[in-house]
Amino acid sequence: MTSLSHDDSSGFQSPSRATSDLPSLRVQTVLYGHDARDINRFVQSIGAAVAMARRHGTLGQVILALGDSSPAPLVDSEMETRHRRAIATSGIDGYEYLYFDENLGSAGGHNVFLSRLDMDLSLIINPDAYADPDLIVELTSALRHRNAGIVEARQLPLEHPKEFNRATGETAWASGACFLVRRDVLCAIGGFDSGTFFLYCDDVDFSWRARLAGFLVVYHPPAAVYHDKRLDRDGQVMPTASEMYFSAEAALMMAWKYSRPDLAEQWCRDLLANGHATHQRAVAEFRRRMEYDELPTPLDPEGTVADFVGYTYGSHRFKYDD
Amino acid sequence: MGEYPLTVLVCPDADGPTGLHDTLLSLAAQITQNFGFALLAPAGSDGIVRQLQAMITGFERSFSRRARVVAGWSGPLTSAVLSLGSEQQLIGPRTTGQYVAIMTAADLAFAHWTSSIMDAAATRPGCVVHCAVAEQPCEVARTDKYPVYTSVGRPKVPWGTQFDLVDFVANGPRCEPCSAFAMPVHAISSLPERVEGPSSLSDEERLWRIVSTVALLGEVVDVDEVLQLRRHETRGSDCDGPNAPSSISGAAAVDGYLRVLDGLGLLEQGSALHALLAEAGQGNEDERAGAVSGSTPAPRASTRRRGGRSLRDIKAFAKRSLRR
Repeated sequence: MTSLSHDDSSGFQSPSRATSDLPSLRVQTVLYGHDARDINRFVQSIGAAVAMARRHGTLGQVILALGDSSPAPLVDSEMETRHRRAIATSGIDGYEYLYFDENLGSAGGHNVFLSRLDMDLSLIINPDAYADPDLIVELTSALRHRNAGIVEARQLPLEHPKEFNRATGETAWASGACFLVRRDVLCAIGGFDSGTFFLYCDDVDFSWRARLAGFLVVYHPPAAVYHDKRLDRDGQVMPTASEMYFSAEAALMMAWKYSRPDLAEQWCRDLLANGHATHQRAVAEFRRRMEYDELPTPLDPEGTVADFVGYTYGSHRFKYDD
Repeated sequence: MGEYPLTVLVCPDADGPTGLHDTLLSLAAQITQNFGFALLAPAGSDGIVRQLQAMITGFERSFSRRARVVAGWSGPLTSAVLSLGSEQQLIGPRTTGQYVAIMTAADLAFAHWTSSIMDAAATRPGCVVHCAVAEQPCEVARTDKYPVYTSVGRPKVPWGTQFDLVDFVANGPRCEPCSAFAMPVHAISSLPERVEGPSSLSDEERLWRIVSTVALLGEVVDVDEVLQLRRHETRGSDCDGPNAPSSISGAAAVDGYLRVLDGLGLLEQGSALHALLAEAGQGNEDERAGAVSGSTPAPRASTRRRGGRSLRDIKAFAKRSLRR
């Protein structure tokens, strides 16, 4: 097992071969100011999910990797010992805690691990999630049988409302709260676009680029993960201030990146006219990037995969804020 | 299980574990793991028992060791609830916990459910703790392993966040789900026997009677947050869920229950519930008259809290409710 300090590796390297015929897996998450209790709970749940996958005999080497974008390290030696003890009997072969010493955001933090291309499979999962024991068994099974590049788990208690094909599971994109991705997807498209997306829509963009490269994105409801989301008294999902800002900024970036400057401009106008002050800051940042030529190169001019429906990406079965 | 302050009774459907895995996952993901729990597997369903045991053992040890699968459960759920705290507890070794909560396979707990209800219980020891329940329409997706719920509509909070005893009683057994409540075990174990009602009543009606009576005899504290989510299956209509109007006669259930309370001397003269009882008699008369004349019963009344009502308002509301 390894415990590393800051590793600033970036850029995608040549893949190395796994030693087993069974697929190797890295379970990876990015911490930012999370509570120790949440982190421990997360690690325990991953241990149980890997143990279940081991019983099914479907995995080769398994590494659990925690990246930390917090202002100060969240995992000390005592907690690390606790984690190692928690996973000792689970079949996890390696434990890695990496303190980034800077806030790389979710996308940038995940890229540090993804860029190594040393594992056949990567499970991207939020640290405020609790894995169902069957999570990895189900995701790997769907990956095999549905010939998918990316398989997304069902979130509880509030399931993501995006539409999916009931027969094939095909969906427009996979939520970064929890999905499994094959190495050949990473080889084809690289990792997340962390330069454009700091917190939100990095997963939508990642999925759309994967689909442009010919990979299927599949939603697999039997794979479940508990993602700690809550409702207010009116049954609405409660967004934080950072969610409001980064989701607005990311929406403008998505419209631009997927060759819809008209939509980006329309959203700017809407947000300035009707949005919260937080939204208006997002518009200002978008326009600043446009002025300094910092916006991404537009993709998918034909609209092959890019599907904007209102302020959402792809069709939805329902909306939480209706 | 007895070493924890909260006991959660989880009741799978008799026809299979649809949704149950999700319910267990929501318990395993609780921020505060201060509870033991029992799964009441229906009698004559060995396959389900095996499935439940397999589900439980898949979870991490610190969670699964707090579980008890009660195989071959043949009595009504209320028997398990009522026996809590007694020497002859029906779900296994005696629970020393102070509180009990009930979940079905359609229920999911938000991650701060157990911490919030036990915090509330600590501020008012011995009271009933009430939280808000959201309801979400779902469909059942068939999978290789077991069916799972997938959401098809946004959650709503149809019962409000504040408990209102008169609303609760007036709206009958299909009012608010039992997952909205955590009840003190001592209050349940000392309930008058007649409250539970005859064995011909459904679990749903008996549980409603228990919750109503414990709330009537004690205090209720509201957590004032949405802590539970009830999934209901839509088979093409919004009215097929567990809380949709059923063949159970709401008016008859309310009437019968209030008469039991009256017989036990639990209804104070002039109280809102006593007024309900008086109206129930009149309501039944009207209902019978309506049945004879063929007129359509009034639509189901909203169950949202009505603050600051006069007795007259309550009577009018009760009358509408009891006529449905």
